[in-house]
Amino acid sequence: MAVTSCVGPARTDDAYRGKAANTADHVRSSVETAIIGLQAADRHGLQSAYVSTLLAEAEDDAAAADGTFASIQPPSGRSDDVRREARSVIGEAVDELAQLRITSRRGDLGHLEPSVRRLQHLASALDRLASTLRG
Amino acid sequence: MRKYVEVTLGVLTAIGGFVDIGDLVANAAVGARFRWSLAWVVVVGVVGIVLFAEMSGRVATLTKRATFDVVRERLGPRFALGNLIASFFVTFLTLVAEIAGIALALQLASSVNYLLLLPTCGALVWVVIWRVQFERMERIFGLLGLALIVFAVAVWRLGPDWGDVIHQASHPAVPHGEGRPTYWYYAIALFGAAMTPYEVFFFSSGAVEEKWDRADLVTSRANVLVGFPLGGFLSLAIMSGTAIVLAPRGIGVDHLSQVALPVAATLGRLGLVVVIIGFFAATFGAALETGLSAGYTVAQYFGWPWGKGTKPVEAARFHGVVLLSILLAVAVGLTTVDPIKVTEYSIVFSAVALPLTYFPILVVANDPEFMGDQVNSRLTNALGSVFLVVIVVAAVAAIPLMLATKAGM
Repeated sequence: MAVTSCVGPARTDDAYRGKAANTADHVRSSVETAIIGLQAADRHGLQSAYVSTLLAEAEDDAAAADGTFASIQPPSGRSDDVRREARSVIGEAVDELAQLRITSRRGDLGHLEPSVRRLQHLASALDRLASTLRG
Repeated sequence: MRKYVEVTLGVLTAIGGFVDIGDLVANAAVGARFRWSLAWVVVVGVVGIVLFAEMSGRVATLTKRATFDVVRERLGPRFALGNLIASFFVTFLTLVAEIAGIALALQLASSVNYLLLLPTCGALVWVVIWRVQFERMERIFGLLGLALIVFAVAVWRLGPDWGDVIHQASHPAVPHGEGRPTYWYYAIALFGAAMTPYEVFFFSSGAVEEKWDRADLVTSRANVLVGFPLGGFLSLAIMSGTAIVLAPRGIGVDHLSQVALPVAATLGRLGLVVVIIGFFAATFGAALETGLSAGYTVAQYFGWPWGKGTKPVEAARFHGVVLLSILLAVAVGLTTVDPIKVTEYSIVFSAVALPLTYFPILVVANDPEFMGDQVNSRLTNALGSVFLVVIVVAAVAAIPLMLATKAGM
């Protein structure tokens, strides 16, 4: 539902920034989902099947949003900077979610607090990115 | 005493059976995005479905014929064919979504990809339709569906500011950052989810299958007047869960796993088990209803023998349509089409098809030839007419809003 909203060319720098901001929001939604899931898993020892499904879906969504944004042609050199900055933060989030998916499938999530802290840091970065892009 | 037990069981079944994949997804998505500002739509939708389900139950009980059968006779084969095509399409889409919903619920419990589970789920649905007695089938899944009350428990444990909840629900406004078209698109989706056409086909055909007579009108009305509103309460609980837990973090609902998140985060392991059982029961029960409704609509239109109570050899074409619909639904699901997307489209297309379902019911329920002394009261007619206007407006606006908002983006 969320991801396909990023599809379509960006004819101006403003439109490109808007798409970047939307992508950051979508990825933040995935990151926040993972945070709640991990916090609940830590607090209540949730069933691993559920946690790994939740994390895998969060990663899929974030990766799809990243891929869709990556496929949009930046309209000018100014947008290249936006692309670089956005993809750096978004890519970091996708990598973190992928790592969590891998460890959760191995049943090896272990101590969750550091993972939650990293995700919280990424969520804040994505939030800042979206706010900055929207001016 | 036996009658009271029967009525109570019927009501509990109606509550548990009210929620299906469309309600789960629509209410959770709306709660996460609009919090309680669209709660009023659930109330409107419940009043609508109560009104028309009561009419169709009354028609079926008095005429001993299901809604589709009577509509064909009263309004002619041409109108009924339009109704059949639209209703069958929507019911089929819903069937795809429900069977996928069963597989998604099992995925949450097993982490096995839902695509691998789809064929087994389809087969299970068919076996239950084929082998299990109508009333038992309805009761088992309806009562198991009551597990979704866990959403209300989670909301109570979360302890929201009830003043704020009531204020938002009673002063609906388009939230900051959302456009009016998107708000109304989701309003129509919620309305479509509450008033899905298959519900009345199944309800009226069920009344015929269970051989209801005048004495059963009490049971029928209790199911509808008590069971459905309490089912609507479950919808509001699902909406509230995501409004409290997901909305403040800007989380959009794209998966069934996220619908369960408020319960899992609040009630832990046990809550998660109960909510997954609820998902399974709600989607399985609705898959049975939509699978049967596909057969009911076609068989009733063409005047074929139909019903679970009829020997399969005598209702071969009815059972053939049911089986074929299930096989096709599984095949569509296996194309890897996003089941949540299918759900969203099914409820919007439901809204488009609503007038074709509910207008004939209103006409037949007013016909003394069919209804005798049990024609609609003035109040029922007034409410029915108002709802018909709402239904037509929703049906006309659904597709333009879907295009304008890119399906609610």
